[in-house]
Amino acid sequence: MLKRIIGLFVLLYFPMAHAYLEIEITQGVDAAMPIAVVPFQGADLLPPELNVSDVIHADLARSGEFKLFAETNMAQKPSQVAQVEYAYWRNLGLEALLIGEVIPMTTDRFRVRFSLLDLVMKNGGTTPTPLLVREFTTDKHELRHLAHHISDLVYQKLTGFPGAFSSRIAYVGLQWINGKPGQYRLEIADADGYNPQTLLKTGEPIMSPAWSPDGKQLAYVSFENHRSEIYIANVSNGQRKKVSNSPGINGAPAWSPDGRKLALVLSNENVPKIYILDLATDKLTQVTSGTSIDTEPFWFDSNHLLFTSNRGGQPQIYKVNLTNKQVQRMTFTGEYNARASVTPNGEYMVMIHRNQGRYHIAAQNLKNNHILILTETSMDESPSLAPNGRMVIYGTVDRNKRVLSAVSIDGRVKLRIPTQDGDVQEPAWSPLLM
Amino acid sequence: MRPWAPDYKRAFYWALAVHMGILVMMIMQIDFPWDRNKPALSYAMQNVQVIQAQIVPEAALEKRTDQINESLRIEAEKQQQLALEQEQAQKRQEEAAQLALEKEKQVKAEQLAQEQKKKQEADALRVAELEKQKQAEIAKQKEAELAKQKEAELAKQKEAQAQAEAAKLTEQAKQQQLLAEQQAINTAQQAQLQQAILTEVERYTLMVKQKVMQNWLIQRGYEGLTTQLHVRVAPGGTVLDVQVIKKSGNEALDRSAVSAVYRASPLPVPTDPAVFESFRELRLILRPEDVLG
Repeated sequence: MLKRIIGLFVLLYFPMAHAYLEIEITQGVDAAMPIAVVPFQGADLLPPELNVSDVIHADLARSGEFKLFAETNMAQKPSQVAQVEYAYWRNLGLEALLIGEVIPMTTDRFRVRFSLLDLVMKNGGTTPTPLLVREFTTDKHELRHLAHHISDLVYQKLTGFPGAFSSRIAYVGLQWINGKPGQYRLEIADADGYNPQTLLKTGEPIMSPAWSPDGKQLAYVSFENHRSEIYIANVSNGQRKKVSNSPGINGAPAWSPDGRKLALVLSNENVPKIYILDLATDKLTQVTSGTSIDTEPFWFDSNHLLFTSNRGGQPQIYKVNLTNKQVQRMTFTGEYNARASVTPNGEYMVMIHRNQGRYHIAAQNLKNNHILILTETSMDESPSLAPNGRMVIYGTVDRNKRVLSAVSIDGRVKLRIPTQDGDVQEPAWSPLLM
Repeated sequence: MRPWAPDYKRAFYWALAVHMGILVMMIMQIDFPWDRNKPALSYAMQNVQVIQAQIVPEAALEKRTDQINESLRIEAEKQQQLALEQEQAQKRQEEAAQLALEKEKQVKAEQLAQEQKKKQEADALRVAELEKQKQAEIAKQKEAELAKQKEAELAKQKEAQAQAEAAKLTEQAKQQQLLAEQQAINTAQQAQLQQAILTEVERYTLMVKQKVMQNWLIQRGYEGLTTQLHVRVAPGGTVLDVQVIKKSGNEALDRSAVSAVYRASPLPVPTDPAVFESFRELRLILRPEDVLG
């Protein structure tokens, strides 16, 4: 990966006293941070899926931002700060150490204590400085969620970005029956693919699940009535309501940042166009016009939508100002760009990018418009950004089966999200769930 | 008539004449010059003894031979006797002469030996005398040389002393000059000296910068943030202490910056103490730039 050094100034105040040699450094090595997660004392007595430190280890490793020191190479396995031999861990070149213990309170209730220790800053003592010390008590069946929560805390502390391990993913599953599409399911699972729950089962296609900003509702397109309709479902109890059943296409719902409006695609005039539906008033406002196909809206901010349009001949991404309806083209590289979404910090636009006939997930730097191809397979679809903007989940094809994969925003780490049998597609990553 | 029909008569006479000529030549043994290269023939002819034989009746010859033989024998015996006597006399004479000669020889030899002895003795005497003289001379020379050497050494010592003193003086002068020069540098040429150190500083600054960069493990997303560190460095480059003097607002970035400096320890700092002074305490500004490209 090319990195540029911009603005290198070496300021020298020699030989004036009280001024130090200044060295400015603008470039680093794009590498994972070496850390160690020591197995929590008592965690191995729990079932594997509830082994707290194993779940944390897997979470942090999956993020691609950490290089985890192998447990088999650990000469020591401390569980309390007083047991930590500072020099040993520091000399391994590690930057942080996570230790902890799982203490059974009753057969069904557990206390989990952990300490995240700093191996970078010298503190003059013989034990490392704690960066984070916490203690939780929870039911046994919540231990896995607690582990994800600890992963989030550790991730946040070490990277400065919020962790997304406690977030969830929605996707559409499909069971094939006698070589024909059988049952469609709208499902929600943990970010690591565990604990899937079915929200809707139907014999007709389900498409485009979209999370409300608070993560409590899911909008989706269902063909259960043999035509496209948009529903909003309550994630916790499955209750739902129909919000759009215009003639023709009802598709691609997208929640506004405040959660009060839904951008969607309707084909009232025969060509799909972008509309905004006010959820409180049911008022429908047309955003785009003309003869081109406009689809896949995404809220860039509260006053701008991104969308895909063939108005330039081939599908490209455009941005429309909701106040003055002015449209601005966003993509100029590649013969096809579609399905845009933007990281929370507004830095990268993730999209489907076709280059020489192959479809990839790509990230476009919105400062300089450079495009970085994140995936190499040719059938990648429905990219959805993690709430912290550090990963993209997407649907792809593996051995004639539709599966879910994730890739880090720099393309360095790719992983498979385990799901059940059958095809899985159209993933949507939830917001951060509090 | 055939043109080559021989005139037989004429040819015959020619042939006869030629043959006759050859015959005459052979009889007269005319020595043609081309015959000179036939030495074998002439040599054989020279060695042939020409025996002139006389034919005598055999019986008479025998009788006559006996008579002659007898008279010859007697005559021979007489002559033999005479010869023997003569020979003995001569022998005696010769022996006497020999004896006398030998005696004379012996005397002469004795005389010679005596003379030689005398001569040898005299020679030996002379040689001994010569040797004595020689030795004396050598001893004399040695003595002289020793004296000379001593003298030379003394002179040398004196010279060395003088030189040392002179050197001392020069050194003092030199040092004085150096001091003066240094003072001059301190005043007039200070800027130039600093320039020299500055280039060294620049060189090592780049090296330090590179080593920290190589050890700065950083992810995307920190662009636009800046961390300032104060670093204390020991001679040899060991990082003694790193302190965040200006936080970036992102604790993780601050830690990654501190970690980068510790990872880079020992820093490539100059060994020259004067230049190292600039590196004893450093101000590091870590500012991640845009990484896509």
